[in-house]
Order: sequence, then structure tokens, then C-alpha cells
Amino acid sequence: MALKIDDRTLERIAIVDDDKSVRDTYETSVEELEVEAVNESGPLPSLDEFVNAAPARADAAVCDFKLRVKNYANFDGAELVARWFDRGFPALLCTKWDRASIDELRKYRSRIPVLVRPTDLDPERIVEGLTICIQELAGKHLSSRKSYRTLVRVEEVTADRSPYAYVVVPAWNPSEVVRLLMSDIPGSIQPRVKTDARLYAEVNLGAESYEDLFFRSWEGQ
Amino acid sequence: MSTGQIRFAADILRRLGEELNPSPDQGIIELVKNAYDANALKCHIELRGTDSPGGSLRIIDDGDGMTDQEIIDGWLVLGRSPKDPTTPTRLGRRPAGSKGLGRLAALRMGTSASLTTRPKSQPRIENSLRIDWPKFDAVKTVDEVPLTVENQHLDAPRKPGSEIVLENLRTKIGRNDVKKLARSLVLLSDPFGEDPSGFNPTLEAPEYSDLERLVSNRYFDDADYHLTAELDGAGKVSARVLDFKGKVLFSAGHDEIAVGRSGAPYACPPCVFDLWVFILTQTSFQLRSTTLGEVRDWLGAFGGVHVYQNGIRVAPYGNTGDDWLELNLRRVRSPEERPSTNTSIGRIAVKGGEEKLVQKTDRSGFIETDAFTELRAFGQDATEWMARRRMEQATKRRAEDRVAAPRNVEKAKTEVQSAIAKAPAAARRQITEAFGAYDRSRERESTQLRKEVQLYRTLSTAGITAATFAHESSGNPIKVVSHSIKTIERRSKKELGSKYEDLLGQPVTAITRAVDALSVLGSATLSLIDHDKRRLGRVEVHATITNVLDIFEPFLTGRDVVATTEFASGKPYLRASQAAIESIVTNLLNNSLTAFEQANVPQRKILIRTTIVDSLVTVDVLDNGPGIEGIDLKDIWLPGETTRPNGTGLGLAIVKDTVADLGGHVSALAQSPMGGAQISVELPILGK
Repeated sequence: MALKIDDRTLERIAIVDDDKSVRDTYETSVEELEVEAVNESGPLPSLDEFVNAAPARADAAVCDFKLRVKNYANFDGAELVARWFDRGFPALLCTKWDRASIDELRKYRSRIPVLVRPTDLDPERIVEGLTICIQELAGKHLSSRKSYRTLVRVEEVTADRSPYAYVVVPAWNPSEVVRLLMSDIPGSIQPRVKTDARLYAEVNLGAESYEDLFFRSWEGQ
Repeated sequence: MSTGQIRFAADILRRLGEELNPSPDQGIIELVKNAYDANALKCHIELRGTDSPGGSLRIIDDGDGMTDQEIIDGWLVLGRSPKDPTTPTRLGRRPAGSKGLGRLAALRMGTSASLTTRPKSQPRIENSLRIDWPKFDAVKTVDEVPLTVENQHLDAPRKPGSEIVLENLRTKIGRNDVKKLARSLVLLSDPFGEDPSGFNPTLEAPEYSDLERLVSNRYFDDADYHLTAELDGAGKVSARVLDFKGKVLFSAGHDEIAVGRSGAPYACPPCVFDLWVFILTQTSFQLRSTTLGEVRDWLGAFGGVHVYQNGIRVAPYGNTGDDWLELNLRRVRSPEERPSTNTSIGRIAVKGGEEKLVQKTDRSGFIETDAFTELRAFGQDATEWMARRRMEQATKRRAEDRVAAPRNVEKAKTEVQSAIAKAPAAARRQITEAFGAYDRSRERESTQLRKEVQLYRTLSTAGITAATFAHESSGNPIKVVSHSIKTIERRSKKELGSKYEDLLGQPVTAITRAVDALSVLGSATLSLIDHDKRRLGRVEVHATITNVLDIFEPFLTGRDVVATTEFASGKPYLRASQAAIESIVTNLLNNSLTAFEQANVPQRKILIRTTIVDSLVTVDVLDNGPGIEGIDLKDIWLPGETTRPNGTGLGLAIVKDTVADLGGHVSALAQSPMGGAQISVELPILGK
């Protein structure tokens, strides 16, 4: 048996999580879809290697965000899912949605079509999420995922070991401050990221909430 | 058939001249760099009548000069440099001049420019050329004005060299420009190194000789810290910090310095960064031969971090107002043990790398490529590393001070006692008693402080541990239980149909609720330590209380407590950190929750009430617990005072301290109208 989404037939779904019992529970959801679950038991090889290895044995994946806690992988799920996106392989990223995780995955968010809370990962949500992924890979973006060149105003920059830039995207929500890791902004733009600076970037202005926003193609004014 | 060629309108010369010449000093520096490239050792600049327009400027060097062919094929060609920047000149210098564009800009400063030059290869020949710029205004294209190089045979051989005279200058060169020019000249050929190129540009102006004297003073030995960081060809850095005696204080390799970028190499050409940092206080200069004022003036004139590429300075890095490594900004944000451009001087010397670090055509620094960003990151990371090591040293010093403090107290005490012994007998007893009373109260205070510090440390440790486990508890086990129970629910509903509710409905719901409560424990603890909450800003009191109550909701339910709010109308706000307001509310809630453990009440209730009078908001937290018993009401605020066997006695102490920091004050009722304790917090607000 297999799952058909648009023009793709999914026979096997890879499950990537650093905890065996979590992988096993996800497996139950995948198997309810009558799709074979490929339990990626790890330790995983390098990112470059695994980006190509998994698609050779599966048609899609469900991947956890934090993969480094145990001795499982030396990369995060966000980067993996983004790299898979680049090579046309659909994958759902599971994350707890806390702000620190959102900060860390923001730079990959434009290439991560769907985030799922681990507790929401039932068969229905898997099909729904993979459908969005597959359509986006085919160039059909949800309105919340389309990006537009827009003004980004810098509210404040903190001077920590890993500095944050607090920005407002007036065209998205003039009253919500969005926190970005300075390191996510290209090096050539960083010197211009100062309080009250106005910059341009491509942002998905249809995003419904904070965690869905992504920024790319930064320009300094 | 007709053939044509692209020609340039004469106006383009004017445009290029204006646009590529950001300031007179920059233009003149370009001519001086030409002398450097021609292997000159001396280059003298004279200004005549330049404090108003119409003056003249003369630049004389003792370089290799030019043959007529070199003038025609090189000097007069714009946009292409005959000098390969990677091939050293006869004196081993790397050519520093631009592709003739800077030269054009400089030559256009007057209405005419004359060049007289004697080539090294032809000691008896003197070539001269005159450019009259108004002639270009009368023609359509640049090539319509013929330029002739005159050759004159000399009777006796003369030393080679060139002289450029610019006449009838279009703009004045004011005092400030002269100062800037003098500074640029002094700094042009790396005056920091031990082995200068031998190139010595001079300016006939009083401003210059003052500055020249100043730069030659070289107060480097007076620096309290000397950072020297070296970046090798593989982009790896190593660094040392020396004290004023040249003794190594700290040293580190790449991984420690580049820790912020996870040890990634710096993708820029090899270079050496030296930074001399001064502690400019009277006490630190007491035992030195130099004075604080001298060093301060010197740093005022030359301070900042300059950049040298192949021994020649790249402006504007290190100019007044150009803090390209953001030393001042970083110092403002975290002042302790960090240098500013007024207290330090430095240079980054880059060898080669012309293909990666390319200077802009208008000579206003490097093009902002990744290599330049990396160079800046290297400079910043090295200074940050020094700041971290210095902080560590300061922390150690403070620890030593703490050890020394009691010894110093004992010593002072003995001194006071011997002073008392010398007092007249009549007064002696009275003084001894007064001093004894003072000493006892000081002793009590310090005992109290020690106790308090220890408690804060204990509680911080408990907090850190809770936060660590919060990550764990909201992690995998919860994920597994929660996901599995959903699978059980889904599958059994499918298999059992209508029998599901009777057989499994209740236990499945119970597990789901229990897991939710567990996962909140993790997120509640983590949300308290969120980075943003410690930032100062506008904090709304009501919203913060509601937020804390939302976080506490599962705990309150779990303990059968009903919490309600009665808010005054409006949205009172103040400038504070959200963490401060949250810690007040959280500690008061914790206080009530633990009070309920001491007594049985039929329905546990907490009420949070606010009232606003003028510019004060009062937050009352009342409960129907047992009230405050077994402790004097005024002692409840003391750290460590608790009526519970395992209590820390810190909750209310933190509330009191936090409220005091916000300019408010606290009060308590042992028995409120609700029956239990009432704690009231009064805070000044900015608006409502």
C-alpha cells in the first residue's frame, strides 16, 4: 500500500529523532497511513551524506528539530529539512515551538514549509503537512508562505555573546517586535543593523504568526 | 564604411575629479603615494596662500622620476595602473597608488598642473609637462587637447626626482584640512612598526611639525596592555596580551578566540593586529616618567585602530569618528575592562591580499566584501577575547579583595583602638562604648549580608537545576506519553466504537490531563528565564499578572486553588523589566500556595486586586489561608526568615528588594478580610 499526494506516491516515510522511543511512537502514526516507516536509528553520518542517504530509502520524512542532545547527529533537524527541500524531498519538522527553537530555525524557515508540534503528529496531520510540502516543492505556495520585498525597521540591537536584532515589519504587523539572531543576517548587512535603521528584505507577509515568519534577500539601504 | 571610437567628453574629467576627491587631504595623499611607489625616501609638500582660493601647492620627491615615455604611457593614462600591486618595487615596496584616478582628482585641484621629472635612468634629462585645465573646457572631447612632454638636456647630471606644482587652487585648504593632511601624512607609512619603510613625507606647516613630534614620541611602552593577534594563511588566529613590562599575561589559540563562530577560520588575508590599551588615571601614571596629559593628547591625535595594507595606510579606518571595530559601542554596553578609541591605539597590518581586500575607487576604504567583514570580525573577536580574559582577572582580583577585606578591618580596628587609648581618660570610656556599639552593629550587618548572599546562591542553584530539568521534562518522555495516548485513543475509538467511552474514556482523559500539567512545569520554568524578560521597557502590570496566572493555571488547579483578579480600570504601566514584575507576582503566588499547606480550608482562594491612586498602582494579593502566624510581621521580609521547615525565606525578601528597586514599597496584613495574609505592593507608574 502507499499514500498518494498529488502526483507523488509515498511508500516509505523516514523517521528521524534522536530518541528511540519517540521514533517508535511516530512509527505508529506513519503505519496507520499504511506506509512503511523507515526508522533512522543512527548515529547519523555527516549532514552532506545523510541529505542524500535518506531519500534513497524513503519518499518523505518526519524529522525532529533537536538531534544533537544524544549522540545521534551533529546537525539540527532544521538544516536537514531545509537541505532536503533544496533537493525536492518533502519533510515535516517537529518542534516544541518555544522561542529559542524558533530563533534557531528562523534562517531555514523559508525552506521549511511546515512545523508540527510533536504532540500533534497524528496520521491526519502528517498527510496534511506533507501535502503542503509537496505543493510548495511544485511551486504552489500557500499565501502565508509567499514572500515580498518589504521594509524592515530595526528597533534595538543587543550586545550579547550572540546578539539579537529586534525588528518590526510594518507591512506584516506594525505593533509586533520580531527577534532575530544577528548571525542570521548576512555579514555584509550586519554593520547596517543599528537602532532605527531601515532595511529591505523579502518576508512572507501573509504569515499568521511569529514562528512562521522568514526573512531572506536582505538589502541595506 | 565608417569607423568610430568611444571618446570621452571633456566634462567627464571635471566630474571624475569632483566625485573621486572626497577631500583635499585625500587627493594630496594620492600624489604622495605616487612618490612612495617611485621609491622616494623624501616627499615634501608646500602650501602657499592656500587659506583662500587661488593658492598653490608643490610636491617634491626624490624618487625614480619618469622618462617621457613613462609619462605618456603611464602617468597620463587613467584607469589602468602600469604598476602591478603584487610585484615589489626596487626598494621592495608594494605599489600603493590607485589607477591614476586619485591622481587626476588631485591634479584638478588647481587650474593648471605642471610636472617636472628627472628619470633615474637618464641623469642628464629633465622632462616637463604642463596641463592647463581651461583648455579642456573649450573642446568637446578629452583627446582634442594635445599635451607635450618637453625634454631638456642638462649640463651636469642631477639627482632623479619629480616635482608637481598645482596653481590657482579652486578651493582653499583650511586649517582643518591642513590638520587632517598632517595626520594622514604622519600615519601614511606605518609609524607603529619597528621597521619603517624609510619613506618620510613632510609638510611645510606648523601643524605638521607638532604632529610629527607627537607621533615620534611613541608612548607604546606606557600601554598597560598590549594585544597582539596574528592571523595566518589558513585563517587561524593566535594571540597574546602583554603587560607594560612585556610579560605575557594571557595567550590563546584559534578555538578560544574564535569561540563565537565555533572555530570557523577567518576568510581574509593574513594579518597582524596590535592594540595598545592604556589605563588613563592619575594613579596609574604616578610612578612613570610620562604624564597622563601627554599620553592623552597622543591618543587623542592618533587613537583608534588603523589599517595598513603592505605598509601603507588605508583610510578612513581609525580616523576620528571612524570606530570601525565598534570599540566605543562595545564599551558603552559593557564598560568593565574594555578599551575605547580614546584609551587605545592600534593597527591591523595586512600583507598582500589585494585581490580579496580591494580599495574603493574614491579611496574611502575597502569595498565591503566578505573578506573585509571577516577582517573586522577577526579584530572584534580578538578584542573581545582580551576583554574576557581581563574580566576574568578582575573577578579574581575581587575575590582576593574579599579575602583581604576582613584583615583590613582588623587592622583598622586596632588603629582605632590605639587612637582611643591616646584620648583623654574622661572621654576614653565613652568613645570605647560608642565604638563597641558601632562595631557590633557592623558585625551584625555583615553577618546578615553573608547569610543573604549564601541564600541567593542556594536558590539560584535550585533555579538553574529546575531550568535544566525543565528542558528534560518537556522533552522526550512527555512527547512519548502524549503521542502514545493519542494513538491509543484513536485506535481504540476505531476498534471499540461506542464501547470506547465506557471502557477507556476516563483513563485516557486522565492521562492526557496529567501530561499537560507535566509539560507546563517545564515551559513555566523556562518562560521565567526567557532572555527578553530581563530587558528594560514598558511593562503593563495587569497583562503581566494575567500572564503569570495563565502559566500557573495548571498548578493552581492541581492544588484546588481558585485565583481571581479584580483590576482597577485602565492599563497601568511602568518602565521595568518584565522579569521584575513577574518575580513579584510569582513569589506572592508561591507564598499563598505554600500557606495553604499549613491549614485546611474548604475552598482555597487567592485574589489579586489592583487600585490606582494618582501615579501609584497598588497590587494586593490576598488569600484565605491561615494568615501570618508564628513570625513577627516586620520579620517576614528578612531573607532566610521562614515558618516552614524547608522554606528558603527568600520569596518575600526578593519581593521587597525588587519593589524597592522600582521605587515602590511593600506592606503586609497578618489577617486580611479574606481570612489569610494580605501582601500589598505599591509601585509608581508612568501612565494608565
